[in-house]
Amino acid sequence: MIPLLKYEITSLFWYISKLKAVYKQGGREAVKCFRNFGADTEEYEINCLDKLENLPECTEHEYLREEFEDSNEIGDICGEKWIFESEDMCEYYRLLQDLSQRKLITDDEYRFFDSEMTDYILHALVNKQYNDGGFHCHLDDGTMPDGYCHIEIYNYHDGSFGAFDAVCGIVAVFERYKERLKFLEEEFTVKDETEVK
Amino acid sequence: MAKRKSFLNEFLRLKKVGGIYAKDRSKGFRYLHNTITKRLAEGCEFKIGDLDFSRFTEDDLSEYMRYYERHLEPMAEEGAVLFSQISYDTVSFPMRKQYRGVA
Repeated sequence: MIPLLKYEITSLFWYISKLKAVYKQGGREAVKCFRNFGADTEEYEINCLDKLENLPECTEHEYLREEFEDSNEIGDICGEKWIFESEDMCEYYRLLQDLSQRKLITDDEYRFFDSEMTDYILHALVNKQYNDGGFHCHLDDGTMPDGYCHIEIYNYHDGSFGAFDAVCGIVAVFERYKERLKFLEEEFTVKDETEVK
Repeated sequence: MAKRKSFLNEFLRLKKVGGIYAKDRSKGFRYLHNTITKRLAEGCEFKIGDLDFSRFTEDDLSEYMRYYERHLEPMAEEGAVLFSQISYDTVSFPMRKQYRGVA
C-alpha cells in the first residue's frame, strides 16, 4: 500500500494520458522511450531534460548566455539549445526535392508533403508547450544553400518548458519522418521504376 | 460481531461511483485499475513499460482518472495520514519495552 500513498498518482495518470495521445497518433517509439519511468513523477521533468540530450537524434546541446550590446562581458546562462537531425529526415526532404525536380510529383503534392511534416511538428511538438516565450522551435528542411537539415529547440529559462512534452514530440516527429520516407519510397520510387520499364 | 473490513480490499474493490455500477465499467477501465492502482497498492513496482497502451482508450483513461479523483484519492489521502500516524506512534512507543538492570 505504501508506494501508492507515497506518490502523486493523479500526476502519473496525467503523464499517461499525454503518452496515450502520442500513442494514438502513431508515436509508438515515444511510449517505449519512457518504459523505465516509474510511479514517482517528481523527477520526470528533470529526467527528461537529460533524455533530450541523450536521444539518438540529438547532435548538439549547448547553454545560452545573455548577450550585452555594449560590452563583451560574459552573461549568465539564460537558456538551452538542442539540435536534432536524422538520416531519415534529410533523406525525406532530399527525396521530395528530387521527385519534384523529376516531375514525378506535382507542385501541389510537393507542397502537401512538405507542409504535412511542418504541421505535424507544430501539432506534436510546438503546440504541446506553453506559449509564454520559454519554448522556441526552428526547422531547417535543407532548402537553404548549405542543405543542412535539422530541428533546433530552445528552452529560455524566463518562460515555461515542458521537457516531457519535448521528448515525446521529438521522438514522435522523427518516427513520423521514418514512416513518411518509407511511404514516399514505396509510392513514388516504385512508380518511377515501373515507368522506366 | 461486526465483520472486520480490510482497508486494502475496500480500496481495490470497484464501487458504484457517479451513478455507474462496477459491473458496467469497461475492460480498459479494469485494465488500468489492475495494472496501476492494484499493483501499487499491493506494494509492487510500476513502470510505464508495464502498460500496454493498446488495451485502453483515452475515454477509459479519463473515466478512470475521474473515478480515482472522486473515490480513491480521498481514501489514499486518509490512508497516508493513518500510516504516518502509525509510524509516528511506533517511534514514540516502542513495541518492545527494554529493561536494564540498575547497578
